[in-house]
This record gives sequence, C-alpha cells and structure tokens, in this order.
Amino acid sequence: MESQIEGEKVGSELKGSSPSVQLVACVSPSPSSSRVVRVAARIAKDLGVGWMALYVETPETDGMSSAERDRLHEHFSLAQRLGGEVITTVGTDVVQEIAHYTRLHNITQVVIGKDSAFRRVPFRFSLDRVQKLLRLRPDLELHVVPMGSGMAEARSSVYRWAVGYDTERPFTAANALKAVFILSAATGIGIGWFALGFKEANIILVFLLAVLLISLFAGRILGLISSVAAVLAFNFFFTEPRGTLMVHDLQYLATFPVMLTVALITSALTGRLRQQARLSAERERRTETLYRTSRGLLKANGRKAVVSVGLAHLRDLLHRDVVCYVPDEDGALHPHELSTGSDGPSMTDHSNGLNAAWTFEHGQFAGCGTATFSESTVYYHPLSVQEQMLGVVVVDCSQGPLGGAESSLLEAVAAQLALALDRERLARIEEEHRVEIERERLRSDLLRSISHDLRTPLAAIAGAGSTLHSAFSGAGSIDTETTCELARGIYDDATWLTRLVENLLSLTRVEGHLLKLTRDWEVAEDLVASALERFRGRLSSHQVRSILPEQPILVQVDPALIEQVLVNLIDNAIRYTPLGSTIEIRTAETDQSVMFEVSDNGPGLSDKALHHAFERFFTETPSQIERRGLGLGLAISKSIVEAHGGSIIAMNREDGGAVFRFFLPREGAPLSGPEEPKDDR
Amino acid sequence: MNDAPLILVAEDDPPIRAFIKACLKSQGYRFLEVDKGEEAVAQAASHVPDLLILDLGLPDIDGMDVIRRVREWSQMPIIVVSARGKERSKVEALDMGADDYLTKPFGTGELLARIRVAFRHAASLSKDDADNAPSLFTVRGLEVDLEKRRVAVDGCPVHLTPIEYRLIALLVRNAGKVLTHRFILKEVWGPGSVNDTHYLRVFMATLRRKVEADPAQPKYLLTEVGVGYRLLDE
Repeated sequence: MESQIEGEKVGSELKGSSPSVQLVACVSPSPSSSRVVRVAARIAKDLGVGWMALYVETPETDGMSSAERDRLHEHFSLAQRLGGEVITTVGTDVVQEIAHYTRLHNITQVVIGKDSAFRRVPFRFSLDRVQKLLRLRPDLELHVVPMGSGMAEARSSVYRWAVGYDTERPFTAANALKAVFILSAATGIGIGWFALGFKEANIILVFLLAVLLISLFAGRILGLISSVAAVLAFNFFFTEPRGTLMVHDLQYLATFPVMLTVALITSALTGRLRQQARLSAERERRTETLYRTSRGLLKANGRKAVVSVGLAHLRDLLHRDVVCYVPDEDGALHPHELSTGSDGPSMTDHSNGLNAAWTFEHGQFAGCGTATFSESTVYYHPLSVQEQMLGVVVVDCSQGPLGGAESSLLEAVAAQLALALDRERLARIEEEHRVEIERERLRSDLLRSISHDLRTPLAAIAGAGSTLHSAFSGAGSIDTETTCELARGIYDDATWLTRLVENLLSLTRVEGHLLKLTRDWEVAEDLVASALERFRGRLSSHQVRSILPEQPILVQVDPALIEQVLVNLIDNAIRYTPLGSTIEIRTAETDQSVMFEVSDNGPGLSDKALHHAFERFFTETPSQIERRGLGLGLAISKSIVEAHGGSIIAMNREDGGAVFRFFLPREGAPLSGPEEPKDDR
Repeated sequence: MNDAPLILVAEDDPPIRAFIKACLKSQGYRFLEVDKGEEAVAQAASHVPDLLILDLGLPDIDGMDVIRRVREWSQMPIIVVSARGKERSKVEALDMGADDYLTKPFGTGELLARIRVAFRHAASLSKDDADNAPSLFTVRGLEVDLEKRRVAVDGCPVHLTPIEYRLIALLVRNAGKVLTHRFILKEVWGPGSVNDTHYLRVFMATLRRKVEADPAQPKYLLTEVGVGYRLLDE
C-alpha cells in the first residue's frame, strides 16, 4: 500500500515540470563548499534531475571579505559549469531560508556541508544546523558532505561578526566622538541624579540607555566598547570608594556582570534590529523594482521595446552600463544599448560581440567573475527560457564584479526579460503561422478563381485563332469584317488577361512580403497620365475629365504600383458604369497627404459593395458587364496604398456615382523648389 | 529589296519573335533572328544590321552585356524589349546606350513607330550636321521653331522660361525617342544635378500646363513612368 502511494507520488512528480530541479546544494564562501557543489552535481547526474546551488545571503554576509566574495563566485561558476543553476536568496537565518526555499519549490534533496570541527561557526553547517533543517523539513533527503576543520575560517568569521559586520556605521572618529559624548552626558545626568539622591538603579538605566543610543547611532563596535565603558564609569563615579575602580560593597560584584551582560545584549540586539530593518527595506525595494520591471515589460510591445525597458530597469537597479544582445530573424546577434552618457569602455565592440555569441551558443555565464573570459571587464548573462536561448545581457564590471545582491537582482530581472522576450518570440511565431495560413488560403482561393475565370477568355482566343488559321489555310473563307472582329476579340481578351496577370504579379509581390517599394519623387498628374495612357483605345466609350491643382504635386511613391492602383480604379469605373458615363480623376494635397480620387456618375456602389469592395474575390456582376473580374483589383490596390502608409476609401456621391479615394502621406517633400539655372545657353 | 534596312531580332520567345517577324515583313524590312545573346553579338558583328531589337531577358548572357559589346564598335540603333515592372533595367539599358525601349505586351503600331524614330535619328546622326536639322518642328498643332526660339500651340504663342525652353528644345531634337531623367537632367541642368529628378518633374509638369490642353491626358509630352519622357513626333 505504502509503496503504491509512493509510486503515485513519483509519477505525479514526473508528470510535472519535466527535468525539474529537485536537488539543492547549499554553498557558502567556505573553500570546502566546492566539494558540496561537486557532490551535488554527481548525485543530480545519477538521479537524472536538475539541480541548483543555493546561497543564502544574511546580515552577516554583508561584511564578506573580498577573498570570500571571490571564492563564492568560484563556487557559483563551478556550479554553472557542472550544469547547475545558481540562486541567491536573502534571509536572516540560513537554515530557515533553506527550509522555506525547498518547500516553496518542491525540492526533496539537499546537499550540505558539515563541519568536523565541533565549534559552532556562523558560516558552516554545524551539527546543529543539520538537525535544525531536519526538524524543519523532516521529509527532506539530506546528503551531508563532511568538511575539513577550518580554524582560520572560523577566526575570520568571528572577526567579521565583530568588526566587518557593520558596514552602515563603521568605526570612525565622528562615531567615536558621538559615543564619548553620549557616555559623558549619561555620566553627567548620573552625577546630577546622584547629587539629588536618586537610587543607583536609575543611574544604571541611564547608562543602559546610553549604550542603546550608541549602538543605534554610532555602530555596534562602539556599542560593545561603551558597554564596558559604562560599567567602568558606573564603578568609577558612583560606587564607594568613588573616584576609583575599587569596590567596597561586594554586592556590586554581582551588579557589574549583570549590567555588562545587559549592555552587551542591548547593543547586539540593537545592531541586529537595525540590520534587519535595512535588510527588509532592501528586500522591499527589490520586490518593488521587480514588480515595476515586470509591469514595464508587460506593457512593452515588440522586441525592441521589451529590450529597452529591461535594460533601463537593469541600469537603474545596478547603476552599471548594460547592453543586450538579441538575435535577429537570421539568428545573428545584434547589440541593443542604452546610451548612458558615460564614457566607459565600449561594450559592443567586436570581441564583446564574439564573447556574447559564445555565451549565447553555450547558454553559460561568462566574463568577469566566472571561469570563461574571466579577464574580461564585463559579465555575460545568458537569457533563456526552457533551453531556448533568447539573448545575452552584458553588464559592465569595470568597477568590480557583481555582488551577491546585485547578482540575484540581475538574475531576477534577466529572468523576467527572458520571459518577455520569449513572449515576443512566441507572438512572432504565431503571427508567422497566421500569415502562412492566410497565404495558403489565398493561394487556394486564387487557384480556384483563376482556373474558373481564365477559361472563358482563353476559350475565346483559341476559338478565334483556330477559325482564322483554318480560314487562311484554305479550309474555308471568311470576310474581312469577320476577320477583323475575330482579331479584335483576340486582342481584347489578351489585354484583359494581361491586366489580370499584372494584378496577380502585384498580388504575389504584396502578399509574399516581397514588396520592396522603389520610391521616387513623382508628380501626381504624371501617374494619372500614364495610367490613362494604358487605356488607349478603350476610353472612347467613356468621357474622362481630370481636375488638377494649380501647382504640380510631388509625392514620393513607387510609380509602377501607384499607377497600378489608378489603372485598377479607372478599370473599375469603366466596367461598372454604362457607356458614355463620365469618369473624373482628381488630385489634391493637404498638409499631411496627397489625395487621388477616381469618381464616376454611374449607378454607384451597393451597400454590400461599400462594405466589401476591398475584400479579395469580391465581385458584383451587373447586367452590363460582359465579363466579371477576379475581384482582386481593389484588394491589391488597398495593399499597395497601405504599403505606402496611406489609406483608401470607397463611397457614393450624393448625386449618384461611385467615388474611390486614396491618400498617400507626404513625407519629407523636398523643401527647396527647383531653380532656374543662371546661364541660358 | 536588298536596299531595305536589315533588322536583327534577338528574342528567345518564339511567338513574340513570330509576331515581330510578321510585323517587319509587312513593312518590307529585311530581318535576322537569334535567340541567344552571344549569337546576337556575333550576328551583329558579321552582318552589321541597321537596327537591333534586343530582349533584355535572353537566356545566356545579360542584355546589358550585349549592349555594351555592340556599343564598343557600333552606333547602330538598339531597341530593347522588356516586361512591365522592369523599369530600372530599362533605364540602365538606355543609359548604357540603347536608343529606345518597348514594354511587353506591345502592339504593331508601337513597334513600327519606334523603328521609324530610331532610323530617323540614326540618319540625322550619320549626316553629322545636326545644325542643319530642320529648325521648325511641328506635330499636331505644336510648333517649335528652334531657330527663332518660338513655341506655339494651335497658332497661339506660348511663353516659356529659359529652362522650359531648353527642356522642350531637347525633346524636339530627340522627338519620338524616350529620354531618361538622367539624360535630360545632365543636358539641361548639367552633370552636377543628375539626381535631382524632382526638379525635372516639376518643370515638366509646369511645361505641360502651358503646352497641353489637358495635362493629365497629354498629347505631346508623354510620361514614361519610372523611365523618362518622350515627345510625340507623328
């Protein structure tokens, strides 16, 4: 029964996040932590699970020596080399934090180092800590790696605890002066109260208050020193014989140690309290900035925006220059950089690009503080989501490697940036799929439509051709009028087919995203003129009026494509209006755009046509049209106009007739007008 | 019959070739046909035709190469044929020394008109006395007197600025022939402004407003979109 339950549990875990992290190696700056890392890597490999190196940052670790910091980084990079993730968390108690982290992330196995030295040292997992962890998480599988004794370590830890600890209020002359002042004031008040006949207990309390104030304002070391000083001062000034350090009343021998202990504890607690307040403020700031980052990234739309939002937040958090390398569609890495105004070393030069490419390819941390490119003055942090490499963040380390807090901050922001980039990547893939499906649909619609509509003119051409051929090869005779009619028919059908093929070609250009506009400055009426030129001979059936502005309008367009739009609109007007109708072509300009309008006085557009005119394969077949089109002309026109950044609309005139209008943006028209040359040869 | 001009047709598409052939035959021209660029160069050298009709999309070598190699030794008129949408290559061919172009699909009338213009210009060139060219040009009501520097439409004198006059004079001297933007800019404004095509366009538009009844349906000054301008000559 039990084994069955266990089996189920394992099964459900396997079903969860795939090679999930199930093993944690607890590292510290101690040199022997590398053994913990290696053991963890081996176990993880044997079990076939993911693993991570966990480092808990505590108030004590703030005063880490640079040698310890370097060692910690060595452990981190070793872990990364061996395939582990590196996580830094912040807490006041290492064991509680480990217990909390493993519970939160469903981690079942922990590798920790255990001191063989019996002394309890803040940085090591002494027997107590192992037991404490087991008490907190009895379900954990613990792998304990014995470590060699490290007295030197221990000393340095004690020293740090006492001295290097308080980075915020260091031991300075000003602080010492503060302490002396507070202590003197306490002594002064004591002397005053003593003269007034107050009890000694009051004076002791004043001294304790002084020690508390000193710990608060002048730092922990001075707090400790003043604890002793307070006891001595009390002894000197207020116990018989006063003015000496001698004691007559033996009960003071009990008072002094108690007073000293209380003073020491007061100063220690005060210091710790302040550290914790600072730590939680720091944590809150991090949480808040991370929240702001994630909100910013959520709002950012497009890869470029995502990268610049991420970089801006990173720069503000780390106060360092940052660059992000992101691959383009072809997979080539391109740097994105925020101009910081600082003139530090370039982070986008060739060698940086190569290193970033290495980082991108291997998905491993590199640069300053790691084993790869360790001589570099920058740090390369790969961005990835589930094995998918998305980019590389490069952080300037010319002012020193990243600290533990900075690393974890970078880690957190980089993870969010990676997620945002992945989101963009997925959106792009989805968009590509959508376009692909759309294109596929278009292709099949097109084929169906073409095969249907091409048959009629082709049959007519073939028929006319064979008639002419047989007539002139002696198989019969036809009169000149019929010959002329047949030839005319062939010509008309062929012209129609030509126009169709041209539209199809434009369509493939537009739809295949091959549309590279070859823009040139053109005069609007030239485009109208050459579009009309294409209707030579066909326009006799209609009256064409063109209304042009006083001044020629210059517009920067792809002339062949815009001509095609005009041809399509004019063709439409000819086909959908009765013979003898008037077609009006107008060009005009406003400050922002150039307008082209083709209108007619025919029957106008039906409600349906007004709504669907620009959709593909939409056609209407009024009685007077001898042949329906493919319903592509207007759709293509719309694509072309939009590719130029313009818009096209269809409407009806109040006095009847259809109006098609398109607007093209006027971008950077040449300001200086043309000039007459000075000489006149 | 042997005096009739000889035309070399380099075209790889048989139906188009057959159509051109029929067209030339109907006008009594002699012709040679090839379907490869190399052959075109070889035949041009051995037969020295009076005119070359060259498809820019021949299968073996680039049409530009053919033009370049023929131009090394001969000024024979070259008319290039290419599909719509290949404006850039047309301009390139023209700048390289081709005389004119035709866009597929083209009609008989268009083809013969281009041939006539090409022969006429070749003739005036070979006479080598361009100054003695007729100084009065007239076509459908447009009159340009190059000697007196006078332009009139339907008998009404038109007042042109010096630059407009130089434009129209240039077109008249090359009547019927397409002139690229580059060529016109170089001739009228000087070699320093060959890229300022918008100058030319605006001047041409204002010139048209003075000469044409309806500038959007010009009778004389025709626009070849993406290539240049042509003055109607017949």
